[in-house]
Amino acid sequence: MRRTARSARPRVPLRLRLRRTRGRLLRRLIIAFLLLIVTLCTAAVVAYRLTGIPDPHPETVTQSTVFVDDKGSYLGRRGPVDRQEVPLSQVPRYVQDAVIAAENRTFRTDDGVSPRALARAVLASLTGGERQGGSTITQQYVKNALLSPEQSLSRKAREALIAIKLDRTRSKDEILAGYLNTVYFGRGSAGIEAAARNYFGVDTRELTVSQGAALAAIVNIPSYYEKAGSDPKVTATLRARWEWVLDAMTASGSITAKQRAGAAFPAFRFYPPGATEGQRQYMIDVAAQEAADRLGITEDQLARGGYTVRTTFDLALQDATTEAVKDLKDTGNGKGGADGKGITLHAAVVAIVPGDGAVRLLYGGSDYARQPFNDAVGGAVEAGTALDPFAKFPLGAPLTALPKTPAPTPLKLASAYATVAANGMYAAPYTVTRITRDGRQVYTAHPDTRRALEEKDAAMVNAWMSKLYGDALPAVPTAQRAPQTVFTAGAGGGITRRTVWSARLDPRLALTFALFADRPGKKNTTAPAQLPNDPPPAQSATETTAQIWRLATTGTG
Amino acid sequence: MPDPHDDFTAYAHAHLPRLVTTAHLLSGATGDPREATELVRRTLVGVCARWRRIPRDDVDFYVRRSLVKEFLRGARRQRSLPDGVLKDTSARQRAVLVMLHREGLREAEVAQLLGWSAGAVGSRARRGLAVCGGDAGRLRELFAEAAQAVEAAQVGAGAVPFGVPLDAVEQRGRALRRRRRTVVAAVCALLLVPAGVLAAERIVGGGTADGSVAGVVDVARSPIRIVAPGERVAAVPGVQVWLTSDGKHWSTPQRPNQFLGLTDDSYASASKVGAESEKPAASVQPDRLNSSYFLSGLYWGLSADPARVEVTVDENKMTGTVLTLAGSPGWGVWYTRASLSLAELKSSYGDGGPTVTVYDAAGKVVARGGADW
Repeated sequence: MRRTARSARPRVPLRLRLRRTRGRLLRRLIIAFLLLIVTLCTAAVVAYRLTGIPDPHPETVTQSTVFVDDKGSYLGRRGPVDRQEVPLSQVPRYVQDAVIAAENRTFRTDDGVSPRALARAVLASLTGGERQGGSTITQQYVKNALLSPEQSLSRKAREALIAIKLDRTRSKDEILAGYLNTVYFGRGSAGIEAAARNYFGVDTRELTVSQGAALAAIVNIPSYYEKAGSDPKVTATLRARWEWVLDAMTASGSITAKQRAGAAFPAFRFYPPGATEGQRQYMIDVAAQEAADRLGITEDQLARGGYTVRTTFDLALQDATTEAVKDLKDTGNGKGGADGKGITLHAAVVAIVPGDGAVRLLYGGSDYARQPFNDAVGGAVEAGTALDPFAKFPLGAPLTALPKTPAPTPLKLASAYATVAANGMYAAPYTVTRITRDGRQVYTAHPDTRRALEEKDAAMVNAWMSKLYGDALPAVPTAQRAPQTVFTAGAGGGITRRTVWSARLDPRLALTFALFADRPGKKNTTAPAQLPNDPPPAQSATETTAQIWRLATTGTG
Repeated sequence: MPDPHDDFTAYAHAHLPRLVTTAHLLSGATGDPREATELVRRTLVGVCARWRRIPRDDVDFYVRRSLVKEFLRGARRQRSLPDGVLKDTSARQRAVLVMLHREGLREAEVAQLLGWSAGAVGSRARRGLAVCGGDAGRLRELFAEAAQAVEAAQVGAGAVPFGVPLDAVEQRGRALRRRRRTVVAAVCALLLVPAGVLAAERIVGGGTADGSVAGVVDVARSPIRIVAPGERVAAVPGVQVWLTSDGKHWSTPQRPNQFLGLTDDSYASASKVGAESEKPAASVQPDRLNSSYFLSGLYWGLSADPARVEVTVDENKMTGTVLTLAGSPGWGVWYTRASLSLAELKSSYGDGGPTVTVYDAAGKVVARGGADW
């Protein structure tokens, strides 16, 4: 009876039941949540302990080797990526600050990750605001340099862990240096040094406040901003962002209000850059081979090693020579075209500093793309009477064999002429002045000289060369200079000229010009050909030599 | 508005006997029933303190829960009972037994009341029953007897029913509620005030950061590009312009490889500014293309890069494109993309030929010049 009474009691409605058990449910949820957090924390700590800082992956260790001319102008580079490392001390403080202002303002104080920045980025992407990255500079560095570029959540977590670990084990300056040297700036340039060159044509340490802020602005979307300067819309967008970076720098005290007011939006280089004539690859080829030789490494190692090779070349003179030779060939080919059965004119020009051996000028062909063979270094050009001055005098090593060589290379003969100009002192031609890496010098050239001709013999050779051809041309206006020797010779004569050698010497420079021709031979080969006769090749070669001499000695044309 | 505690007094008054009985049974149904009133008093103070939040359609449940919890809290201190049938039961088993066999709740309801699972309630009920004889009917009778004994003991206990002074209970209940409320308010204040201050700072700070606006509106700025020495620029089809540190080079189909040096003697004497090339000046060189003219020239002696180069041919003003070397050398080459017809050029020579004006970033004229022939 009691039991029936109990079962008659109505079942508690769900709403009531839920309200009654609310506390219990809540408690359980809280416990579950706490457990979850503890588990996650434990997992994070374990993961942090287990995560090692990986080595930078190969692409970000590779650096290209840059070649510059004797005044430091950029000649070109060798290597798979356009990247060169600079120590942080060479990056102006305002450039560092600009990058920090643009990418991660709390960089100097945060712990490698910034939960606030992350939250802001998420909020911005949810509300459709301006695109923002939640990654700190440390995280970006980890992403770019240490991890593979795959995109996944686990990689993101790993990246954050490594970033924290990196931040705790390395100084902020080390991280910033690593970042600046690996981050992609667009225009194919990884790292600030390549970017400074590709955007502004300067070294990192020469960057201005404006240029630094512009580079910092570019890092956000490099593939878009790399068109800066040519696309008005991109330029305007970049300009707005540039102003924003400068404002942030002013607000944080990196630059003064006066610097801010005086900052003008910088001018950019062309992208892709305008063509340079095809000479530079010849120069780089020669210099790269020599540099690798001097360092005792392969050319491939050189290309990946991040060296800066300062060459002996004078880029302005080289360019001017190229134009002069082009003029000469244009007239030669234009007139001789009637009888020219596919005859190609070749010229090789070498200028050496006597007594030192530095090669100022090395013209080996008009277009590297069509003729990668360097005529000046590797071409055998029939000497003919060009060797006559040495016929009566004994030459010492290493020129002993020269008089018996029917077709020496222009470089070889030029070094012999330079020996005459240096009163018989032979200097081995060299093209690399010094090699630096990471701001340290790893090689410096020392002239390698030895006596190859007795001093009085040299004077006689010189006199003989002058007497023979010195009166052929009027004296150039630079009469105050040391007297120069002008000499023209070659193989063949009259209308059957095969080669012309023209030289001008004085104690400061020995210039040698070789003009020859070839025509297509059997089976993809070429055979030597006669030079076209109109205009007379000896005369035009001498004139061109005189013109280059003027360029080389006065600096103007 | 009626005092919300009115119905508390009424409720407490009405349910007091039952509560005291239950409390007595929970305490083991032995000894003086008046000891149970202390438990009821503590329970009622707590109930009074949170009376407003107790759902009115389920008051009994919450009051019962308070009672049992209060009992279990106190039971932790006093372990064993002196004597009686319930002597060997634990406090929890007793709570379950009383709820099931005296209050007439189902196991599920007891589980809700105690915040346990139904299984835990069932097992405790079975074990408790086994300890005190294993007979539920006997237990119920025992409970009924004990209840009657309690009621009998309380009849005529005086003005204060069952020895529980309800006024005092209510007073203490309110005091408890006030204290709790104060604590909650203080904690909230401690959490919210710093957060609010931070948020306010952020908003104010953000306001000033967003306040700056890009100031200068630039009207027809000259495109200015940096070139490397010897870098060929295709200015217009067929025309190449390049710079070396010495000056301007250019090639047209008619005249390849032209050069104009910065320090060229012949040039300096011919130019209108004379030999003093440090003084800011500019020049114009017209070049014949097939049927039109290409205008280009030099400027030099500036302290910074120009903002605008303007070429005037008659009344026609054109903006020139500027090429300069890296590092703001203060000189450069300008050219126009638009070509000029022979007629236009000829007519302009009536008033001295084409002229070029160089402006700086502030819009000031820094250099001027014309064609030198």
